Parts: sequence; C-alpha cells; structure tokens
Amino acid sequence: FYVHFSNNRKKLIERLEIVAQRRRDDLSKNVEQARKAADKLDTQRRDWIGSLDFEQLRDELQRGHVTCVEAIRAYFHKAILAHEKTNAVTCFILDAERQAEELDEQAKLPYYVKPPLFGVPLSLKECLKVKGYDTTRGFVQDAYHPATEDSIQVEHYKKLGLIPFCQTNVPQSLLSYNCSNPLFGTTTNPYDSTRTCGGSSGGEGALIGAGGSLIGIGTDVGGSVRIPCHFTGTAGIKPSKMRFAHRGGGASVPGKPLIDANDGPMAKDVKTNVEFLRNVWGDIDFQSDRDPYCPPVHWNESVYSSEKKLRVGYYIDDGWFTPTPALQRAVLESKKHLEAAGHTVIPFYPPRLPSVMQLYFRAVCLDGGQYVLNKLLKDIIEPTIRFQVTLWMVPVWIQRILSYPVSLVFPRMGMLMQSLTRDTFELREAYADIEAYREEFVGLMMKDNLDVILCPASIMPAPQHDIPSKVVSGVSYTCLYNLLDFGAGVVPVTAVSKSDEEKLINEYPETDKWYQITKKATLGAVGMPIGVQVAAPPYREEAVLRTMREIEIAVTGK
Amino acid sequence: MGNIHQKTAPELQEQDDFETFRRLISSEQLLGDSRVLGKCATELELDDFLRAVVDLDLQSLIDKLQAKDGLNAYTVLCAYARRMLDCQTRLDCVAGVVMEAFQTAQDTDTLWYNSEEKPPLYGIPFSIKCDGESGLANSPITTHLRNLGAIPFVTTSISKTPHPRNPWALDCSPGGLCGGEAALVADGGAPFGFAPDLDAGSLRIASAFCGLVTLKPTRDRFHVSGSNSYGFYTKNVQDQVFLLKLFIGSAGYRGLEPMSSPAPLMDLKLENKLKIGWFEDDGFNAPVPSNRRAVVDTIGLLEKQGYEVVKFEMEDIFPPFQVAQMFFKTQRPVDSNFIPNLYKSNSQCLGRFGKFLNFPKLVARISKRAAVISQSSNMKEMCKNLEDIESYKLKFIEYWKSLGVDVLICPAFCIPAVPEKYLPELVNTRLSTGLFNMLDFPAGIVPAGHVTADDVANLEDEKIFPIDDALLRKQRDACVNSEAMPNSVQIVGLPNEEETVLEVMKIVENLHGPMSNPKGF
Repeated sequence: FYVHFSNNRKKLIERLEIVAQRRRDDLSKNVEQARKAADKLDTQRRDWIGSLDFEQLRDELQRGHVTCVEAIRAYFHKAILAHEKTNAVTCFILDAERQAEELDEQAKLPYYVKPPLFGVPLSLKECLKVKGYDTTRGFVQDAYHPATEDSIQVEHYKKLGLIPFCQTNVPQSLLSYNCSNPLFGTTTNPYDSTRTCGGSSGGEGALIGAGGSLIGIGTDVGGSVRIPCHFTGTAGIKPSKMRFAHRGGGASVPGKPLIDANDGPMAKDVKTNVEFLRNVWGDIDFQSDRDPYCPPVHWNESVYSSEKKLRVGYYIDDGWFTPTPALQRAVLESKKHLEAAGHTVIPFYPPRLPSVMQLYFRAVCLDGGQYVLNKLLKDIIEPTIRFQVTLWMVPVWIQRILSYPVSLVFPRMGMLMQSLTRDTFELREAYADIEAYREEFVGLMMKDNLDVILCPASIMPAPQHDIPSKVVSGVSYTCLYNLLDFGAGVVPVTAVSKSDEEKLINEYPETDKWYQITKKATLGAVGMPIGVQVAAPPYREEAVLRTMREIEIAVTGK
Repeated sequence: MGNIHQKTAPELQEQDDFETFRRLISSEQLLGDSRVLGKCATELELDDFLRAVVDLDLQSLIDKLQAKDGLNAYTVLCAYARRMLDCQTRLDCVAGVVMEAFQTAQDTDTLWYNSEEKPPLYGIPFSIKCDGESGLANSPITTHLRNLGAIPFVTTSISKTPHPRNPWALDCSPGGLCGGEAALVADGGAPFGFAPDLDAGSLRIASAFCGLVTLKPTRDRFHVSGSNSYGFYTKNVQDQVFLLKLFIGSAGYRGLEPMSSPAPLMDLKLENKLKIGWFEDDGFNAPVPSNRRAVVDTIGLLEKQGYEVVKFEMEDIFPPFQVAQMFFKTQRPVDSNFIPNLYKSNSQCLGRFGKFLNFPKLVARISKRAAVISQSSNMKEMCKNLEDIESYKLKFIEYWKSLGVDVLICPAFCIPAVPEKYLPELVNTRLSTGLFNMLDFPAGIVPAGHVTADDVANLEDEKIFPIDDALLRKQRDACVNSEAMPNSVQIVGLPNEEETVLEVMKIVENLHGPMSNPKGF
C-alpha cells in the first residue's frame, strides 16, 4: 500500500510542480507588466508621491494634485522594490490602473463627490476575494481558480474610493505564523531576510514594513495580523468578528463557527489604521445591508477621542509561555508611557492559559485537523511546516496515549497532545467551555473596571522561517483574544537591544524544548522590531486604537 | 444593592416560605400597614383595591408608579404577591419566593417614592430565573432590572420544572422549559416575564401555548451569559418594545454584559408599506389546522389592509427534510443520549421514546420524520453539518432578498398547547421554532385568536390534515381537546432587524384585537 501511495504522490507532485512553475512564471510576467505601468510615471514625481504618508496622499488625491493613476503607478513601483527585497507579492492587480483611470474620469464630472479615501492604493492578503484573481491560500491545487466576485468588504473598500493594487503572500493553509508555501516561495522579513515576516498575513506585513504599501488588509484567526505587525515593525488591529461582514470571505477550514477569522487593517502606523476604520465603520451600513449578521455598529468617535483617563490592565507573562526579554521590556516601557499620560495601569492575570491553549486548538482544528491534512496530502507540502503536518498525521487517539509519557519529559507538549477532539460530545463541551471562559475573563476585567489590556504581542521577535511550526504554542498571546473575540491590536514600540540579548543568554529559561528553540532562534535578533498588544471586549475597538495611538505618540513623537 | 442569599432549599423550606409570604399579605396584616396605600377600611375594600392594581396593564401600572402621589412599590408588591399565590395554587408554576422582596420594596420606596425622577421600572415586581443546580441567579438581566427599580419577588425554574399547568386548560402544558414563567404571566401573577430561548425555541413555544407576546432577538443584540437568546413575556407588543428598549443597546446593561451590541433599538421610519412573506407549512412537519389557519387568517387581514403579501416557498430554498436533518443534528450532540436539552422535565417518557429512536431501520419504517430526528452523526458529519448550515443561511437570505420581503409570517408552532404527556413524543414539531435559532433570525410570537370547533373537526378530515406518518397521527391525537386554546403566529425578520419585526407584530396585534384572559380570572 505504501509503495502505491508513494507512487501516486510522486505523480501528483510532478503535475503540481508544473502548475507551480507556471504560476511563478506568470507572476514574473505580472511583475514586469506592473513595472511597465510604473515606468510611465516620471521618476521625480513618483518619488515625491511615494514620500507622502497616508493622510498626505489622501489629501493630495482629494485636492486633485495627485491623480489616482499616478498614485497606483507610484505604488506599483514601491511594491516592486519591496517585493524584490522580501518576495511579498503574489499578484499585482493590473486592473487597478483601469479602475484608477475610471475614477480620474469621474472626478472631472462637475457633480461628482469624491469618496473619503478616493484613489488610495490598498494591498490585500491573497485569501481575500477579488473578482478575477486567485485565492489559493498557498495550495498549488487551488491555483488558476479565480474568484467570481469580490467579497463584501472588498466591494466596500472600492466604494470608499480605495483601489486594490496587489495581493500578498501567505503560509500554506494559513495556519502557521511563518509565510512560506510551495507556490510562491518564502516571504522574508524586511529587517533580516533569514527571518520570517510572520503569518498568516506575512506578505502584508513584509510589504508594508518595506514601504511597498500604505494600508493593507490581512485576516486574523490566531494572531495572523498582529504577529506580522510585531515581526515587521508595523501596526494593525483585529476587530471582533461582529464588526465586519463575512459572507463571501473564505475560512481555511469549513465549519469553524466559534473562532472566526476576521479582516484587520495593517499599516505603518496606528494613525493610518484609525483613519481607515473611521471611514469603514462610519459607513458600516453598506456591510450590514449585505450581511444581516453584521450589526450596524458605527465608529464611535467619542470613545476614541475621549479625554477620560483609561484604566489599563497589563501583564508581561501569561503563565503559559514566557516571552523573551525584549518583549517584556516593551510592555513595561509602554506602561510607563501610559502612566506618563495620566492613565492608571495595574497588573492583570489572564486566567488558566494552559486550558485556553487546549480550547483554542480544539476549536481551530475542529475535526482534529483532518480537513487540512487531507488537503495537504493532495498538494506539495511546504518544507517549513512539515513538522506540523507530521503531528497532524498522528491519529487523535494515539496522540492521547502518547501524551502521557511525553508529559513526563515535556509537560506542555503533553497537554497540547490532548487537545484535539475525539467526538462530538467533546466538541460541544469545548464550545461551552469557551463561552464560559469569555464570561470569566470579561468578569475579571469588570471587577477591576478595566478598559483595555496591555500585554506582549508574541513570545519572541521574528525567528527563522522554520521555527513557527516547531513552536506552534507560541501563539498564546494572540490566540487568546481570538478565543475571546476581543478587538486586539499591535503597535511597534522598540527594537531588540544588546542588553536584551544578554538577558536572553543569562536569564531566559531552558526548561523544555520550546524554550530552547525560542532562545536559540532569538540569538542574533538585535535590531529586530518589537511591538506590544492592546485588547478590549467587543465593540470597544476605539478604546484599543486610542491606547495604541497614545503609545505611538509617546514612542515616535508624532 | 444587597445580594440575594438564598441556598437551594428543600421543598419543606419552600413551603414555609410560601406560608410566610401568605401571612405577610393577609388582610389583617395589610389593613394596619401604613406602607400600603389606598386608605382601605375594610377587607373588602382592600381586596378590590389590590385586584384593581393587578388588573392594570404594564404601561398603566408604570404610569401610576411614576406619578407624584401615585402607587408605591410596597403596595404593588402586595397586590402581585396575592395574585401570585392564587396562581400558584391553580397552576403550580412558581419554584419559590424571594423573602427579601418586602424589605427591598420598602427600601425602594424610601429611596424613590418622593423623588421627581424615578427609575423606569420603579416598583414593578418580577420573577427571577432559577437554575436548580446553582441557586438563585444573580445574572446581569436580574441586576439590570433591579437597577431600573424593579422588585424580584418569585423564582421560576428552568431545569427543575415543577410540572406547571396551563392557565387556559389545567390539563395542558404551558410549554416545556419556560412554561412556569409563561403560565405566571398569562395568569396575571407577574406584570412580565423573561426566559431563555433554548436551542429549539422554548421561549416562543411557551408564549404560543399561553397566549403571550414574545421576541427572540438576534443573539448578540441582547447578549446573555451562556449564549442563549433571552426574551420577555408580555401581554402586548407595546410592553415588549418598552422592555427591549431598556436592554438593547442600553449603556447600563452593557456595563453588566459587555458582549452585547451597542446598536440601540431604533424607532422605525417607514417610507413604504412593508412587504410580507408567509408560509403555512415548512414542508417538513405540517401544522394542525388551527395553527395553519392562524397564518392564513392573518395574511388575509393584512391583504385587506393593503399590504403586499408574497408566498414564501420553503421548498424553493432547500429540501425541507434536509433542513430538518441539519437542525436535528445540532440537537443531538451525543450518540447515546437523545436530545437531553429539549425535555428534561419528563425523563421517564423520554427514555422510552429515546430508546425507540436508537433503532433507525425500525424508525424509518414507521415514521419518515422520526427517521430524520434519529439520524446519528460523528465528528466528520458534524463538521459537514456546520458547513451545510452556513450554506443554508446564505441561500435563505438570498431567497428572502430575491422576494424583496421585509418580514416573514409563519406558524408559531405545529400544535397549540396540548397535554404534557404528548410533548416528549412530538419532537418533530420543534423545527417550527428551532429553524430560526439555527439561522439566528429574530422571531416573535403574537396571539391570533383561539382554536375553534371547526379547527378541531378539521383534524379528522384527511384532505385538510393528511396523516402520512405515525408522528402526525400522534400530533392529531394530542389536539383533539384543544378548542378555545390560544392561537398565535410567528413573525420573523433578518438578523439585527428587530425593529421591523416588532412593527409587524404591532400591526398583527391590532388586526386580531386584544387577547382575552384565561377563564378563572
């Protein structure tokens, strides 16, 4: 049987390699076409447009000093440079130039009112549906299956005047926090190409971090917006799922209703995120009308602009995975910034993180990981996630049995090996437990009258590309807020310093394999960006953004 | 605000509490009590005065409590405590009493009676949901009601029902898990009630059985711990709107329950006449003639009023038996136990029926509907089912929008209130309400007259009510004595459009006229 299976897989892989190569060739041509479009713009003008920040470009577009076509060409150019550096782009949306031309023509009409984000270029994570373009999620088998319609949100962004101009890379299956797949290859960190940009919105993080886009959209189911922001020194937020429409979006695993993916904006700074969301949520009826499940909850300016001092709960260690020293220092520095601004910052202890990790993996791998595994076995498996796939191939009941001896030498791994569900009863129990945990967590915040939570963005700065699949449990700082369905964002605060490295060597634990891997991966990370995470219950994203913005102002001065 | 500290008490303690309550509101006690208004000199005058208080509808009661020199909390509490005890004797619908109620009422009066600005529910008695395993609930709903000035005075049970009776016919059930609350409100023993709409629609079933108004909101529009939708029982739609406005989007409630949506309940601005979709049969389980007629009559009345009505063909969306299969799979989480949530109150009868359903081939021969109910499922099928449900939601909404309708009117349930012994065997009827839990659509219940003699006679006419299944035969048998029972319709809207549903509920209520009170009043 194995020989037969092996032969079949070999043939399958040969066919897939041909498709993958063809797709990569198409991407090369696509990049050349984008370069031709970009070259139509005068170099000096292009560089000036490229030097504008989001607000400046938006204002110039509103005044007509910059045309939409010019903006698109300028960003084709910048994105190509970023792509050459990081391999971030999977496809330039060449149709963007035509869309820009249309907008420029409409702008000449006397009665035309420019939408608020008229002509601003927008980059999109590849799994977001754009009519006529692929959403492969890094699977070769899904190449050349273009979307037949835009998702509701892409429709909405276009209505607001934004112009999607490129799609960005993702890890195969979207369930890793690196950014490699057999179709488009590996996307690297703009600060260090031997390190990952994060995932699964890693292409967005790399592109924005390398200056190739002003504003992009990622998706987040376990930290996939926030981890790339942290690794690449950018800012982004994952709102609670209710604040966006979801019909027409694509989850990687069907039937995953309790831990939903949600879109989230990503940008160089918090200010841009705020401006983007102010416009999207100011016009949320567009989405509510098309997806009745999306409540018509508008942008709340009074919460964002409030002068009332905030009460902030903070922690530097969640009790499951101690972050490396730079991440702890980032939280403590942010705490000082907030206190200097007059806010109250007190310790908070997220309850029972080991149980949370079990619940999270149980809910995300709804069927024990079988759907994704089956899909991977019909595809070329990305080498950097082979370790993860190997784990998935072990039947749930064997994992349960092996978890007992493993617990003796590696307690945390043993616990995770008991996570996957065996039957529908356990799954139903997991859902009830998640609901109960949400109430418990919110109850603790209410007891201390907390507005937001401040905590590390991850366990470490950007590691090498194969590390994420070996330290799967390192998503505990971000996946907690997916389990809770909180709004949660990341803002860059500092960079790894020499003294952080010394502390890492001298003080960081080596008590189990995960800590050893993390420690080793963090050696040599001096200079890598470090962010912090801010989170709050649903419908309070404005409080999260306000807190993030205050930290940003304290760190950057603007 | 003081906490309610009362341990789960054995029945003897509960009996003592009832007796203490009865003594506290005896005529001798109240005639000399200056806290009781009305200046009654005789027992007869007192009885008349207190009865007049409980006869007020909720808005009138609120007006009198809010007025300067109007009623006070203590008097209203005494009036309702008396009525509640009468209800309890007849219906056995209450699990216990809140001993602190009189002190709470007195404290509330001290605080608010002479105030110009009283909280909106000042002095209104209400019942608390009690889960037998964990004692009295101090849930956000209860806390918010107390913050609004309301007085908790009794408890009704969810998981430990004391076999309440229906006020319209004492041999009939007031509905499964929420029946005690509904019976109490219908019989006038409380001004309003609230209850969870558990997975298959128990809130609405009890409302339909007891002739009350209710609405199950979209889940997060009115978020409650434990993830069930909650709704209120009221005598009319106006009261329903009033109460929902105090909760939906309320800053006070969201302070207690942060996961709730901040979108408030808006007043609807109607530009065009609403377009109404309707169906009388979901294609899986036919309603008995009375419940079908309620829909048909309502649609006829609406057409006369000039509303555009559109037939909603459930078969055009998806095969009805497959929809039923999707729904019942969500109700059967464990292979070896059958629908434990639906009928906890009658485990003996359920046990027998449940065992029967574990023999799929036998079941399929006798009843095609029971075959759908007894589908087993494993992990893989459950994942597939969740995916199918998401797909069905999209199809349903697309169909809805293609017809251009604003609301949907359909049967409130497949049967009116029936004797309790029949309910565990009529699980097939649950799709009527459970469908809109599966879809997470807001769904309301409005009374629509009563079961008539013709309705009962039509049960025997197989042209009107064809019997093609053992369960339908049982359904018919259950309804042979249902004449004069309340009849209702269900009114459904798209998610987050509670405002439209309530508007149509009001229209339908006006068309049918006010619901009469149960005999024995």
